[in-house]
Amino acid sequence: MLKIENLSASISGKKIIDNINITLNAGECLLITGQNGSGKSTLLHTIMGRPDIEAEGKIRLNDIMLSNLPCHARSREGVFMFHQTPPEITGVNTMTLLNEINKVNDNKYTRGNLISQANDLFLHLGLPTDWSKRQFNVGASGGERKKNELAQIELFDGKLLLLDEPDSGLEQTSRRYIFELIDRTCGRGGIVLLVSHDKDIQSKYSNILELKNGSSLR
Amino acid sequence: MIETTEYKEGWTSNVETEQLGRGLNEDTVRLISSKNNEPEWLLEWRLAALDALKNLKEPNWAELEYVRPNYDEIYYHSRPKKLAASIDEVDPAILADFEKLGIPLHERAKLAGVAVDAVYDSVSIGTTYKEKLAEEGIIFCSFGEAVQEHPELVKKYLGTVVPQRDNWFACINSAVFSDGSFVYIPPGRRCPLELSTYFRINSANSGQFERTLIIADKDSYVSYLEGCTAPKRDENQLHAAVVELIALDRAEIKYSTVQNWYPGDPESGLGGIYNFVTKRGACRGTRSRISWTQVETGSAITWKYPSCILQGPESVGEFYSVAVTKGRQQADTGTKMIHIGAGSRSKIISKGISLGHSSNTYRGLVRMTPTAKNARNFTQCDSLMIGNDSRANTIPYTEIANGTAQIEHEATTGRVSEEELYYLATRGLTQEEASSIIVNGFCRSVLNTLPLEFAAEANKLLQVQMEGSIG
Repeated sequence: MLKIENLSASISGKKIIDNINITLNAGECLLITGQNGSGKSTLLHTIMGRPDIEAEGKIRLNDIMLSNLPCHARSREGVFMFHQTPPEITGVNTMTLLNEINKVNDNKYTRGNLISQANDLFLHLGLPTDWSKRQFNVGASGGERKKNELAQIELFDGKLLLLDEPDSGLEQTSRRYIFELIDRTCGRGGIVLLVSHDKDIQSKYSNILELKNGSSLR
Repeated sequence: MIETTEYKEGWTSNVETEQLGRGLNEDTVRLISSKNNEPEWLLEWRLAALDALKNLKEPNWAELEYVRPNYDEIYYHSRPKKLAASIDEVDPAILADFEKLGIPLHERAKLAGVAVDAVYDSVSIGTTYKEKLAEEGIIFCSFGEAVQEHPELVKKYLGTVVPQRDNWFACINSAVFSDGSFVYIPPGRRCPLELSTYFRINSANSGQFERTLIIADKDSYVSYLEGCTAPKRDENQLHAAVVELIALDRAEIKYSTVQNWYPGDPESGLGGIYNFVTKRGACRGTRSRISWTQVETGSAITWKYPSCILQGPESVGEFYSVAVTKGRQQADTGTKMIHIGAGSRSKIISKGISLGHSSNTYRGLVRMTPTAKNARNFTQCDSLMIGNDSRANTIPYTEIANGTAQIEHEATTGRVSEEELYYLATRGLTQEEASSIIVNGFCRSVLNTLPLEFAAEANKLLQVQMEGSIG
């Protein structure tokens, strides 16, 4: 269960999120909509614990008070963020990084297992065959970076997914993959927060939070 | 900014030492020479250096700010009171020190395939595998022993790469130098072991002035490793070493350093080693080759430019460097590639990483003389800054006096962005873990050139540098 109470957030003294309350049970997905600048992404980053965001209020995931933890510790409690524009990390191979992430996930995979699973996924998502050996996102297109995010979610299934416009700029097959992934996550009792502008998607989900100027409209 | 990383080699040992030769003067020079039982020609050589010093000045062109050492207060010679004839008789406290550093000197417990010369303050306390190497005609011993046993070799090569008057620090070293290592590889021999020297400064108010001389005769090969640590002390300690390498026809010398001297207090900047070192190799022969690889993580002040004089036709010089500064450390380091021989080639890969309030400068010279027809150089120097208070400089000099020479220079400067660190935090990595991964990626091309035994140590050292170094 995710329980967010009276959550407000500001960046450099400017209030972006104003008194948001969310309660979601295991297996539920919440669609977050609103115009550009309404605070959708900031809400996700506040839940993730981005260090430059000053937050007030409580965020609890099951028994864990996330709002007391730094970002990396929230991740280790099962919060997984799909970034809208993931950065390049120069000099670090994709597989090297996956291996480090695997370590903080209690070595979910053996090394050999991780390599084969990751490569299968990259292939399935249509990423270049040498993707795992390339430097992380270096020179990659927006679409490739999103697929890279998808693959990581698939590998390290989180308890709480924070999806920041995962569908924009992706072709139909990958978009379909995202919605299957959301269904599967909910099916195993995970919780999903999904930010999207897509009108089609909005008809798919009944549980909707619409933001305006950082506050809830409905 | 928080700097909590403890310097792990900072203990002091209660080894009974005698400190001699206070102040930089003729008495000190004569005392050192007589303690070492040196021949007259070497004493004369030292005294000539002392005389030459009168016409030299301490260099002030580097991007370094420090209180000049008071050369009259320093003890120029410090040695354990009990000197042993063999390693089995060495003061157990000293052996324990080296064990603690992971440098076991008993050959039965030795790192496989590495011969070690261990230098404690001003004297070599033991050299392993000496007899085995001697069977191959290879000489590996302390400098002092070489003066006694192989004076003709010492006399022939000493000061021929780094002349006494080369610079202030080299000149001081020439006057008061203490033990270092001596290596001679005869023609056609590949040295079957990695040779290494481990330097430890223990005594207070003393300096270490070791002198190392390595000669690779025709068609020979040697790989040499150097490591260094010192106790934590509030006062600065001076380290002014000279290393001379000589490679004859088709010979190859690979010289690797992992430098981890005490860097001083990260907050106040108090204490730490002043590392003023002159390292230079001469590729005298045709197709001879010298590679310098250095991983510099310690010292309060680093002033160091391992260089190659590429005299032989088609000779090759290489410089691979990772320099990490944090806290209040300052480093001004780089290389010089002097191309004289036709078709000589050089490669410079330098990676500077600065954290905390530190300052990290790359300074490099590539000189193409008129005789260096078709010589080539490739230089790549990259700087990475972590945090907002660190500084990085790149100061390349090029002098081209012939039209056929080619120089390529690439440089990048970057700061690890908050965005990257945040992204990695969302994947569960702490700032230290994230920085460590980024830094490792940044340095990999240099770390890959280290001998296996050192690569692991260097990796560990880099990781330790990142721990708690970011607030």
